[in-house]
Amino acid sequence: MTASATALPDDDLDLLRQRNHRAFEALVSRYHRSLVAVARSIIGDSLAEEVVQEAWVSIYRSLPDFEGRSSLKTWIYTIVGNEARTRLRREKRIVALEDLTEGDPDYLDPSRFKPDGHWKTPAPGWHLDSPEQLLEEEQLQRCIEITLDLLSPNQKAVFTLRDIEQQSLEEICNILQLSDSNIRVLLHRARLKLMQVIDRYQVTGEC
Amino acid sequence: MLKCRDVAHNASDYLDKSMPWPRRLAVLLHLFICRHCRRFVRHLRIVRRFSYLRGGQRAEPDDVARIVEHACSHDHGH
Repeated sequence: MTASATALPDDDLDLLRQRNHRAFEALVSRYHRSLVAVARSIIGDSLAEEVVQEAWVSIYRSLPDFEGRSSLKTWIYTIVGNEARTRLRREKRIVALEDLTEGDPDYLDPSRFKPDGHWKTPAPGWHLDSPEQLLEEEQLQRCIEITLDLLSPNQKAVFTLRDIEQQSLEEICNILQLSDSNIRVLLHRARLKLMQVIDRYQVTGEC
Repeated sequence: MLKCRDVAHNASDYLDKSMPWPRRLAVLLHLFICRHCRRFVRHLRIVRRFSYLRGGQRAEPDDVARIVEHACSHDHGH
């Protein structure tokens, strides 16, 4: 089941401030996997789940004090980002800087363009030509899920925050402590990889 | 005049309005004359919208229960 990226209704916010269990469960259900994606990009795979679990403790404890200066979503992502970085420092880990060009999507490969810079191999036509039509394709959903899992941690975190959670670039910079230009490159590459999957699906019906 | 390669590299910035307006105008002019890039940008726009509508995956109920129990027990013990 997917979670739509809509703002939390005011009465849910009130329930959360009262630490209503049902409301907190709904919050965890909605955001946990996205938060793990963010934590993974900062602390790495092995500690991401643990960091987010501890962040939920902090979030639960701090809910009565949430003032609403930012959205609740931004607030919990910021908490997770900060806790992941704190843990990173404590572990004295060195997380290898991600090579922004690693695994470049095919669309940016020079072989797709003629020497004069125009398309040699342009994008194929799509018969499923709207987001709504794509959403109806169950097999495509599975292909997308596989592709998202194969994205680099930073690409997945940026894509999750921007295109799914609709966070602004400035908010993403603060949460992930990445530069605006790095974020835009990571986002574009993630989108292009999804576009390639959809290309292949449109032509073959498979991932 | 922009080339298709330039549009391919910067299409997300164009859609997200993250480029200066003279550059946006240059992309717009290129799109006016290049049907391949029009299709490319249209597909990227669909991917963006599709991703938003699709949303994120929910956590498994067992994981949610474990996390909530952990958060509440730590709070009571605090």
